[in-house]
Amino acid sequence: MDNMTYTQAVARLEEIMNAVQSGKLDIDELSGMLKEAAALVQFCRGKLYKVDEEVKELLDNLSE
Amino acid sequence: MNSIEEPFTLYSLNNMVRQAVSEGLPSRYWVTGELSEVREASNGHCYIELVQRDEVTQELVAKARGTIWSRIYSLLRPYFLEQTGEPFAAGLKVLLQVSVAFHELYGYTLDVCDIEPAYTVGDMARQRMLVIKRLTDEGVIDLNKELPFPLLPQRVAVISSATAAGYGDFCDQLAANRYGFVFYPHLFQSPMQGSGVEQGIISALDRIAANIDMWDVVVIIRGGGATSELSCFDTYDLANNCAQFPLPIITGIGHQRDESVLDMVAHTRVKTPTAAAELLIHAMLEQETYMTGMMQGVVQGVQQCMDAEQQRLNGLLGRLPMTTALYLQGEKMRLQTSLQAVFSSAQMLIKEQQHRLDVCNAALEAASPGRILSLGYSITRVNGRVVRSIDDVVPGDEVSTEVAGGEFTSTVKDKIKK
Repeated sequence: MDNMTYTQAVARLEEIMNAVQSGKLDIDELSGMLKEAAALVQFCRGKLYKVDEEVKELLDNLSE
Repeated sequence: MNSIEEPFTLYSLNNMVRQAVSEGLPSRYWVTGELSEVREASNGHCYIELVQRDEVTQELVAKARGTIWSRIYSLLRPYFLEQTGEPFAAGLKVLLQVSVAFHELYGYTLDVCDIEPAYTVGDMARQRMLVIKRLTDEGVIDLNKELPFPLLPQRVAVISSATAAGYGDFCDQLAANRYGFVFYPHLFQSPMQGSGVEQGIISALDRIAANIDMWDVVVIIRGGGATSELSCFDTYDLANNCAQFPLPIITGIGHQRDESVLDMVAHTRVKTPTAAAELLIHAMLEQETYMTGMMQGVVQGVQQCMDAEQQRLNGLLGRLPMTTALYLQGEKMRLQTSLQAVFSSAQMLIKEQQHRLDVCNAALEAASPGRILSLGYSITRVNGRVVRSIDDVVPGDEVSTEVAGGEFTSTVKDKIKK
């Protein structure tokens, strides 16, 4: 998941939501889906709220 | 006419010109022209230069100096700004009411008495229309608008003047957002008023484009303290550069009354730097809400799946006894049917066997010695052996003969072979 972009993570989250809401999912798959969704949300929230030091450093090094 | 012997002095000639001008052009006249120079003197007067260009070649075809005396200029200047949104400055097309003057020392000048700002507004609008038409004809006017807005507009390239309050307001607003969203604003400097705006912004865009992957969005802002000058944001080159820029551009150049061409081609236009910051924060909030909604959707979906599964199980459990009974009943019937079949075929078999037995019995019955004896037949034995032929006995043998109901003995006296 670390290599994922935010857009990819959101797309995967949409996929999981649609799959889960379709009601066609095997009961055994549910907990896995739930775990993956939670991890994706955490990953996405990280982008929103946590300072990405790499980005910060890149921008700080710009001349202007 | 005068003679060569009595030439005029320059002053007297100029004086004659002055009189001729004053007599020949005694009124005030409305005249159109382009301000090529505007210079405010410390005494409050304003000196201008008015020109006319050839419409095709743009070369100068007429030029005149003019003066706006301080008592007029002190009224004209704010009035013009208020009406046009533009400071009275070089480059504008104006409609002035002038009286024509000639001064012996200073020559031909126009004394400006009045101005019609509507003409300038009209001309600017016309220029603007031309720029808009060209951008439309070239198919670029909506290009920036068609770019997808980034889901997370966090890395923000800001084009503004470092000294303007706008950039500070913008950064403060972003940093203090109450949700705690992270932004990375970075300033690319450009003058935001005056003649350097066009080149300044284009150059800043070029510097942003040099590391295009580092940015999500471009924001062009200027503080509320700037003059309301707008025409510098109406030029073709600036609009064309912005329209074709590969990142979405947000403008917040703080003009309340009218929309500049830059605003028109920008992806999104807001009025102030603060509003631009709010827009970005709102975009982040939308993502947060969307994501929370999706997570809720997943949880609800899982819940529903589990509920449905639970119901299915409950249903199975509830139906179990009846199903079993039905099954058993079915099995019983099946069993009965097959039993019946077995039974029937067994009966058939038995009947058949019975019949065969009966036939056999009848045959046996028919062949029984008792029945044979009763018919008049008898069995003769000699020494216990059945006599089957005349050769089995010789005269003198004692034989016993069994008939129905008993037996008797006799002695063979003679025998006759047949």
